[in-house]
Amino acid sequence: MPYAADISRNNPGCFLFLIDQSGSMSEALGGQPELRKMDGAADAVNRILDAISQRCSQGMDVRDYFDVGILTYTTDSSGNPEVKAALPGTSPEQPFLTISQVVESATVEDRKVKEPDGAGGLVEVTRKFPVWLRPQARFGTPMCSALIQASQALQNWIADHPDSYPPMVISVTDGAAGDGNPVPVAQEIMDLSTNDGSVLVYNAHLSAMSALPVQYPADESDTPPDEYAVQMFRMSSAFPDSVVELAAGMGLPVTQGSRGYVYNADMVALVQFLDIGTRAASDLR
Amino acid sequence: MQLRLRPPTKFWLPKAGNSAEEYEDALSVVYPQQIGAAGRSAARASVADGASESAFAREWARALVDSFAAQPPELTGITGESLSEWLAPAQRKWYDSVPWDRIPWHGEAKARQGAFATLLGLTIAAAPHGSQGLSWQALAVGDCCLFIVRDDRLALSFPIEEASQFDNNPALICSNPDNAGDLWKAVRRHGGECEAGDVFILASDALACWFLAANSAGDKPWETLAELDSSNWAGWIEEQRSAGLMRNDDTTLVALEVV
Repeated sequence: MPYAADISRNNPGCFLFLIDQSGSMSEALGGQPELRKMDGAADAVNRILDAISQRCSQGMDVRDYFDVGILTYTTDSSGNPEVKAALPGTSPEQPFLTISQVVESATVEDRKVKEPDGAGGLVEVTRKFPVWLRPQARFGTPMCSALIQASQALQNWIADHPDSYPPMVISVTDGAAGDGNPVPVAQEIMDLSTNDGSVLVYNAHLSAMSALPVQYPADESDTPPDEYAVQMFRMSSAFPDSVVELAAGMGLPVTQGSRGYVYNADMVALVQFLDIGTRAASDLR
Repeated sequence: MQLRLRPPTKFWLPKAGNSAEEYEDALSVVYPQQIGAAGRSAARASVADGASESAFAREWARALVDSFAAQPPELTGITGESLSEWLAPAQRKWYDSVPWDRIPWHGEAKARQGAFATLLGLTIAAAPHGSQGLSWQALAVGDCCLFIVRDDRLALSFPIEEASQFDNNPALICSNPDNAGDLWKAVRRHGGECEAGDVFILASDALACWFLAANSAGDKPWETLAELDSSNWAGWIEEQRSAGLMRNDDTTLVALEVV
């Protein structure tokens, strides 16, 4: 039965982030001129990793239910691809750390946020925010090189975890690949599989165009009018049935055939699309 | 002849891959020499299953079964209000067990939210009016199950009746009273008279699901469980897990026989 593997420490799941750090990521985000795409990309990674860490937290400790890797890509000033592993002590060939190591490697910042005070108002409180990735943007977009590197890293991971829930790749980009057509390379990644199913490729598309945000479309015609949207839709896996069922049960806009594609929108909910044990009722967000 | 209970059977095993310290189910059994009419004089058994995705769930499951052992709620006339009152000491005990000033960032939000657990509690007391009989009462929130085996058949499956009804979203009791929601709606109750030969089986969800699936397939899972002892229990559970017949989860069994 595909996508049914028990996610446990004996049989961890895997997230691999692919982060576009090319020059175009310094443009403002559509509809949010105060925020650049690179801020959106760093924020996406930090928030998703925070959510994974919290899901694995038992209070004092974090259980190693997942391995996590981050690959960033740009070029040097002559246009040569630079694909780097962002987590400490990792390499492009072996970009992964266990989630407890990932938690250890976070820089934790205090930020003031407004939260409901329980009496209809807001109260300012200090909360801790973990940071792994800082915004960065320069030079070219070697997306194909990054996907090829990701494919190699995933093949290594799968060889070590043949029975695990299939790895999930989360690509954050504005879509403008500078080294060829990324669709066939992404397809090769989706063709990799564990005994539990094929690798899932999810895309968080950040655009300067201020079209309405889109989440998890099921059809190409539902993609936004951005010039790269159709290509990125094609590079995104359809959610497995088990995910559709879970996500729909949470009231999220996911239907049969929905793809792991969001446009100028939040992807943190992805972390909730996995079963790792008895859920706490109010965790279902 | 006066009905009485045989010494209870109690077994537990953590999820494969987790250590004994990480076992988040909990059980308690109090087995008085002389079973009285109610409260502390009744025999009582409970199983709780801490929700693995909440923080400090193990402490919460433990606090619940300890409370049930120390003083079970009055099950006959229980109301939402009396249940909340009964829970309050366990909730305080949980709160006091949390090292609030040392919680790392990843545990903060979950700890504030509170821990969650299912609970199944059973009391067996002397039937009223001086009869020789025993009667039982059970309360359940979530998917820990009580099975009663009578005359070599499954006479009761409570609160879940089919293996297909188990999922990862059972009803739960929260350690934070502010997050309790409408707990009373999730409470299931049952009760009846005991007969000689009755076997009461309390099981946390993975074992309960296996039990119901085996029963539906025409097997007699209670016979399999009756053959288990401390030497073969862990091995037998591991076999079922590897064969894909039982979910890899904390596993707990309590069995009481009326004779």
